[in-house]
Amino acid sequence: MQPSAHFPTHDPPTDGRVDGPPNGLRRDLGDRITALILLGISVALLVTSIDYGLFNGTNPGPGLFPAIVAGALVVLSVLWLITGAGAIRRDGTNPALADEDDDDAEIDAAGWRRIVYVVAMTLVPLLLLEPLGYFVAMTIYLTGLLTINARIKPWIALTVSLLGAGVTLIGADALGVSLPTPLGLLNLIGR
Amino acid sequence: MSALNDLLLGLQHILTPEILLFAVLGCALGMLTGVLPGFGPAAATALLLPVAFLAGPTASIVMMAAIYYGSMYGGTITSVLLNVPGEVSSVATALDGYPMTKQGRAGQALAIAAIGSFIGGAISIVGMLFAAQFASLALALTYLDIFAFSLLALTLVIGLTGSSMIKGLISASLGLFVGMVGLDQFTGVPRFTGGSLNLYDGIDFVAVVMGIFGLAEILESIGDPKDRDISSKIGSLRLSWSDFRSSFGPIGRGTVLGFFFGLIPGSPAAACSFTSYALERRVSKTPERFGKGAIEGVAGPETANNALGVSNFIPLLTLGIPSSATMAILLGAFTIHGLTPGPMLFQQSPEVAWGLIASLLVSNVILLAMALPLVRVWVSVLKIPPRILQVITLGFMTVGAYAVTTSVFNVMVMWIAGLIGFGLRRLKVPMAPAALTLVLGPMLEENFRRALDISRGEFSGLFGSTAANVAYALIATVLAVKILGAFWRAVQAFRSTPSTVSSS
Repeated sequence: MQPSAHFPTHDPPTDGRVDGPPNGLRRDLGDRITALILLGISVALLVTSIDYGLFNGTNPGPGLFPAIVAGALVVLSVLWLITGAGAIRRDGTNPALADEDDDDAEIDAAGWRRIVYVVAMTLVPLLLLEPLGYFVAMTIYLTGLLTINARIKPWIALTVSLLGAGVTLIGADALGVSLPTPLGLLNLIGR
Repeated sequence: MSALNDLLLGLQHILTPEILLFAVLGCALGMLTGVLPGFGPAAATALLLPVAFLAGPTASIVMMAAIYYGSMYGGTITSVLLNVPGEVSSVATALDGYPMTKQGRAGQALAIAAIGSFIGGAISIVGMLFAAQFASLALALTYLDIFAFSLLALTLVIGLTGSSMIKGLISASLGLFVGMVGLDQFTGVPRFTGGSLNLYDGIDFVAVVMGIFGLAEILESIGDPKDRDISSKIGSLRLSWSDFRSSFGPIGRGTVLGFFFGLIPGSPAAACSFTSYALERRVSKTPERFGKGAIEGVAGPETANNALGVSNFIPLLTLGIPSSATMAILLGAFTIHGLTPGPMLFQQSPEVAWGLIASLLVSNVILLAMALPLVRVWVSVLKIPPRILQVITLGFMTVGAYAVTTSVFNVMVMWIAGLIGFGLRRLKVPMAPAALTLVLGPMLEENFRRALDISRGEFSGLFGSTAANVAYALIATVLAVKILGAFWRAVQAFRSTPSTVSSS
């Protein structure tokens, strides 16, 4: 079939145009699932807010404002659940995607793998920053990111990371910013 | 004359080597962050917010304003050279800026953008001096009025963002909740802390904005499969007389347009720059040149964008109400130093208030002086592979988030906020309302509860002032227009569907 005015060509999705209904439907499903999760959270927030107390005598209590916001969130979640990503037209143009903020490219499988890897690597500073100190934890973190995300040879990545962590440590010290020292590790060895 | 004296006072206060150094550093850092593809002023200021801790209040605020200025111009550089606007407001610039690059006239596009930005910013500052004189009138506002005006600002931001109203409101509600975490300011009751002592002081604003803007942006770029093609051909930066003559009108019209757009809280910068672009095309005798490298198509939107950037400060400084996500982040920089923007700022800390206004003027000059000579430096930054830039930025963000509270917990908050922000962004939930409510939330709740206290818990008390009622009427109008607009679009979509199906 020849591309017509009503069917999308395979141009990059730069103007709210997506690669046809399946993509739009996937987005729509994502919207509805998120709306459902949000509905659950907002109900929990509403119950918690009411528990804090809506009024202290005639004065508003600590739970009044949160309860109003949570109530609004419940209504909004239901509306989101009903509307999803918005009406998806047969020509693949989704009005919900056509707003001015829509400048994000579609992420392919390799892109998602990179994101998962980078997020997983975050555990290094989260878990090691305090026990191993800034220098060691940051060197491991940056080496891992440079090796996989930037595809740099491990030994070059390690050298660059050592230098980067060292320079920022000196810079932070000069600016009076306190970064974690390997006290946890020293304590561990001492024990 | 009083305004001029106050401005001179402000200038006197900031024209010290130390503060000037911070302004220069801020401009450079802002431009450096702004040139990172995809990083707009909100993400750039959020990313560099921890820097606000390094110096005293005036130096920090001056530096943040300079970062804001620099990042706006940084976005222009990527728009012109790469056709990658750092933010939506730079999209209009790319329409003619990038074709100019392809013609080997990138230098002229960047030069006119810098000159237009300078003129637009400088004239807006004059308007700002005038507006600042009325700040004292805002002192007469009651708790109720402030509540109503904060609500109005919020509604305008949500109503004018161009995204789904439902999603905008959800974003605002989530921001309000994050702002409520911690000890209740009236009763001391811990709210939504889950028993964690780390949350008793609330969730750190800096970590959250770094997450939802900066980190979400980086995750987006990590997933982006495209590689950028960087052209190093800038060409001559010298403008011909004909270029100047073509740009006079667009710069003048862009200044007026941008200034007035910026006074409206929530008015999208993109709408302003596109209006300027459309206006220039309409008034041009040769509209067919637009989109093919017309210098007017760069001069108008860029000037309007910068004029708006300055006049955006007016609602913040006179009413204490941020009118955009970037202003909300700057408000965060104020609160870090225990300052509350608004009419009281001119009385309690005039050196900061007038210092900030003076710093906008100084930053404007610094930007003009630095922008063009450093263009080639920024181009070389852009030649660093994006995957390496991402790693460097992640490293700095980790250090920044840690340094704010010297706690790993803050790094975790940043990552959680970043992942939520990234997910919501993929679902087209705008993040600007969340950033706004994050800072406006505590103020909104405080004034709401004080107003109810006064009326002894009667909700009718919220309608007890003329100014507040005017604000409520405006809120109702904005909501009605938005809902009717959505309804109209739905009807139109419904009507067009059968014809599409039948023709296919």
